[in-house]
Amino acid sequence: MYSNRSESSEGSVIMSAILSAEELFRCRKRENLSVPQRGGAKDYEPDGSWLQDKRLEAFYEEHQSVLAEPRVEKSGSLVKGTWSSEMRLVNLEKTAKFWMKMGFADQQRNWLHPEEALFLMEVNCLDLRHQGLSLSLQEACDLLLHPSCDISEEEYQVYAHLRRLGFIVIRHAGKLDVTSYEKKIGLDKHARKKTKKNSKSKTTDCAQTTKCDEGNQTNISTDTQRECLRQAVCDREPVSGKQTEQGARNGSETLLNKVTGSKGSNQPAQNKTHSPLLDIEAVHNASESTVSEENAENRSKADEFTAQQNSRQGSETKIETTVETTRDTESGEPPVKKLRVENQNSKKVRSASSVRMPSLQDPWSSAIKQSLLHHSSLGLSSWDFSITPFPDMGGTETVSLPIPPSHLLPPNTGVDEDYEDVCMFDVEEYRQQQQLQSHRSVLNQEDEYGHLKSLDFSYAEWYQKHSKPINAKNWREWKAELRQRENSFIAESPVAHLWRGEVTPLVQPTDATSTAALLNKLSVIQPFKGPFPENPSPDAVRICFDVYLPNTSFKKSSPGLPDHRVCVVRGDHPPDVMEVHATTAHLADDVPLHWAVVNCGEISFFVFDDLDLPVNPSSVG
Amino acid sequence: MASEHVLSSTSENISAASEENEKIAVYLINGKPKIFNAKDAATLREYYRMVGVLVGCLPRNPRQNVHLGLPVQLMPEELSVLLNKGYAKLLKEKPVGPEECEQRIRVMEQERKANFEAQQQLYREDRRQEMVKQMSHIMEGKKAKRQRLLQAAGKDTPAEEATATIKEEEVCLDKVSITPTAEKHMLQQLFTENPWKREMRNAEEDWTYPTSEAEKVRCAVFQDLWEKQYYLTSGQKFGGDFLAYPGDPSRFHSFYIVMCVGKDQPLPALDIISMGRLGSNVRKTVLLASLDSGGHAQYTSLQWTGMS
Repeated sequence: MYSNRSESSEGSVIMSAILSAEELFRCRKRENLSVPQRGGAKDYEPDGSWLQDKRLEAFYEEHQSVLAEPRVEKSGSLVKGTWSSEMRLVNLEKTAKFWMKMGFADQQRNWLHPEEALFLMEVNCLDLRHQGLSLSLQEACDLLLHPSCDISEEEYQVYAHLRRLGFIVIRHAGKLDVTSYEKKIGLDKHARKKTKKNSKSKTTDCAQTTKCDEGNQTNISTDTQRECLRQAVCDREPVSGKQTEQGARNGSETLLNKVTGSKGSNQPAQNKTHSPLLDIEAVHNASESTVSEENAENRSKADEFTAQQNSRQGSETKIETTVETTRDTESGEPPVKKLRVENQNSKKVRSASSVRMPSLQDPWSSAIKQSLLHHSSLGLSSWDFSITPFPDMGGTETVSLPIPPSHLLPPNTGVDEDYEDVCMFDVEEYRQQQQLQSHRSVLNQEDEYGHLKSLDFSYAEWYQKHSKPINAKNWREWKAELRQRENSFIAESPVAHLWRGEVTPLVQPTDATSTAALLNKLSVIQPFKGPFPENPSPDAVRICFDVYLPNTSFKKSSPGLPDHRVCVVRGDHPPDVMEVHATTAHLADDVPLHWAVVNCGEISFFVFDDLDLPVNPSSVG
Repeated sequence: MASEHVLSSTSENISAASEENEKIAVYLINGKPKIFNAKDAATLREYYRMVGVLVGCLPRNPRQNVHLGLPVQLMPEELSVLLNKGYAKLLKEKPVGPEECEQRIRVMEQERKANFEAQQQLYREDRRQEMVKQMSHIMEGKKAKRQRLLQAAGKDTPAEEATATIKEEEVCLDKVSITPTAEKHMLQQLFTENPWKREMRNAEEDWTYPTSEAEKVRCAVFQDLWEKQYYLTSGQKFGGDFLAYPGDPSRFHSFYIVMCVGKDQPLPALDIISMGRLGSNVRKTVLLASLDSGGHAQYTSLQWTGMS
């Protein structure tokens, strides 16, 4: 069907398999896109019959013709890309539809990972060039899956397998600190934004290790790293070197070290392959320590605040406060105040003309200012609670709150002269509301799980239901009262004498909150929770891919929690049980981790399920 | 066994292929032996009874896993036998020098340009044929248009007159200008196999496959069973070393699950039980294969029996 043509002006160079224009033109419309059937009913053994031979012959014929079909594509629907051997990535001139699900961008350049580029070549989407020459699939395999690239042959085969099935597959993005609740309400999509920055920083890492001595490029890359750093620290103000140094914290410190370290552009090549993982860890550290985040935020706020105060001192009646400032500062206050003050304001707010100027002696502003100054000098805690005045709410019916400084109020609002009335906080009403709210939420819960709860007995609940509420003035009294009641309950029990002597039963009636709790107390079954290394060693099993179900609303910048994760294992290098456990435990979210075993091109998938064996209650008695 | 016929035919084929002195070109790509040529893949399967594994996307329908396409990846045992027998050559690409690269770019540009021009002609031809095919529709359209124009101008000429003038135009189809097809519609070939005529490095020294004792057993057993006219594939599906088929795996079920064991290796009873269970469950015979002191393969089959 497709004749070989080797004649050409410099015919010695081209070997074979070049299609003539006519042949290409014939391929323009592929009539038959069907996939040949595999086998069909098989025979038991060859019997030399004519029929069997014919069937085999037909199979061979179809098999070969299908395999021999050339890849032909309109040049307009091919995307051109060039292989960058320094970056070990493919640089795209322009993007196409696939860009929704793969690749990443830095500055003005679009990059594809080697596995993505190779797959696109296989599905006739990419014309990959190297040294100005279009590559064949064979050359591309050689080049893109070279051991120096961070993707192995087996990993690519798994990638291609999943992509052919229609899944969206991206490189594993590390551990995500997303709770199942956050996942349910879709918050995880936002949490992932940081990892996009990481893929950027990876490229810059590469750029630096390649020792491209163009000053321009190094500048760009340091900038991106700064960008990354800034993102990680969650600082709204531009990060100056001083400021970051002040915040002596884990996350930013490591990042900072990275920036300064890589400025020397002499990072060892070995570092490169693992750096994306490290990066993610670092960012997570930074984001985990919420205190430090707050710290940075508040410091910037402190500056803002003092600046405002200064400007106000010199000037006039017009007060400029942004809603943002109000919100931010208030969030630092106890929520009680916030609630009430806002409420009262909405009732008694008047026009801006009757604004009362706050003096600097105003207890609120001075206290806040003091605490801010205090903290910024120490750089440790955002609020000094020994200075911040808290109202005493115990045992009183109303609390008189100090008037909030007007810059904390929404614009064009003010507090009237008779602020004594405005800032009266009705404690009684607040308590009633709280009780009502908690009652309501309990009711809701009972509705939802009522049918389940009736099924299992819990002593704790039973006890709560059958005892009167404890009246106590403070925590200590409440505890004492509770203890007394417990004791009295034991005394009432017919076997109470068991707990009187020196030797008592291992469990108390109060321990019987549930069967599982009781068994746990008796240490009958201890679930295996071995000590796993926090940071697995580099040669430990590496999770390769995050897999997402086909989804039109998929965003590669914030993909959220994956639907599956895949770990690629070579058939001759199986991981041991500890490694399997460690990899699963390290992630600690309920995304299934699949183990793809690749053996000479054949792939099989497995899942290890962590199993807590249920206890058969009847046998325990 | 009834494989005598198969045997005679394949041995003929083998000699024929060898006479052609066209050894199968196996490329060692990042340590994996692969075949990129469809003809070689067919030869491998039909003459040398080796299946390999297709690992690429099928050009005609790339996004499915039912039927994959080139390249064919070989099991290391398959390659070792092919090399032992001299049926294949193991090759590795040499880096391309800058002059050669430039020459290739020149040739490629030239080829592409000529090809596009030829395609332009073909597109033109195609369009012409399409016009001839659709002539009746075109005529109708023209008639209607003419009628409309005349009516708009207020002249009430009879319909016959209008058609008569059109018929003259119809004759000179060549005069109708066909807009050239844009370059983005030009077809381009994407090569699976490296198309360039080039020097390659013989990589047979790089291929050190059977190194460990277990690998040597596997290799010897593979070669022995292959010589006994079996088709062998990887036994991963069933947890063995190989699956042995009486004929082409596309047409027959496998008979044996081959487990390679060292001759001095102790065989735990529990393993025997699991192998027996496996074999009886999938209706295959478990074959324990090992080498005797002379290096010849010895087979033991395992049968699940109950005595009552």
